[in-house]
Amino acid sequence: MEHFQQALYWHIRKIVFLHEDADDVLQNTYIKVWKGLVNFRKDSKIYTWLYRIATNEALSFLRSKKAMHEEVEAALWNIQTDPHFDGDEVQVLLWQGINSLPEKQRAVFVMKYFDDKTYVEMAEIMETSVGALKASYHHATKKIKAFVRDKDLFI
Amino acid sequence: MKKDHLKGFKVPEGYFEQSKKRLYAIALDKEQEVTKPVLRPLLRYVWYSMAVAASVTLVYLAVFRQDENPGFDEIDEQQLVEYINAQPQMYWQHTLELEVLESQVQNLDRTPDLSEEQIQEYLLQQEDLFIETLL
Repeated sequence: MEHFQQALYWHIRKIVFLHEDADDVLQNTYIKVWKGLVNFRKDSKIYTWLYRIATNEALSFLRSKKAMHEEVEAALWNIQTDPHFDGDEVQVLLWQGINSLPEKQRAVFVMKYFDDKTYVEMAEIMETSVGALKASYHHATKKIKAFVRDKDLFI
Repeated sequence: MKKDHLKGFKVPEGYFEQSKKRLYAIALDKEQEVTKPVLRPLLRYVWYSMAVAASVTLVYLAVFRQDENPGFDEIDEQQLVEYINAQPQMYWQHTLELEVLESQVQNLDRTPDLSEEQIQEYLLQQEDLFIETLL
């Protein structure tokens, strides 16, 4: 598990963005992992299984957070004042664009764009079809481009 | 942009070391939960049933049977007198039985003294009987 600690943390952080949130989600992921270890199917890859739990935890965290803060602006404001982020203007804009995506699209986008995961791998992690993932990624890139264009900047 | 996408992200100093310890504690805690002996469902059912039956019995004994068969020390003298008075027949019957016994004892006292010769003759007779039973 130690081997995956940092990888899982950064995977979660790219979805939930804030360090404190990522830390909480990582802990919940570990609890779920140890609870489910007995039922872990030996035929599936441990890597895929861990990423699936981490992704699901991150997405359900975002959903519950969204339910508490209805305004997306509130979440964006948090990113800009995050003491654990010191990216430049372009980076801030890109991550704001990613943060504006619906939860699932965000997870698909970061896995494909940053982690270069194949659609097959992502399909295993997110337990969905390759076709649905392709469509999701396509919509996500379009939305981010539109978001950046609206801010009069280009990636 | 793609290569250095994590450049802007930071973690607090020594975060991963601390996190490792916390996650190890979680793992240890969960491992103990997992290795706890688990009763089989049927065995658990029998165990619970027996526990419930024992509890019901204890409650019944404690609540409904507490006034029955009290210890002798717990009987009040007044209560005892009242009880005897309430059942005079039983009391007199016992008294009569006692009187019969006493009269028999008195009859034994009245048996005339036997002479030494008579006793020896009696014992000799008994000795013959005793030898016969042995043969």
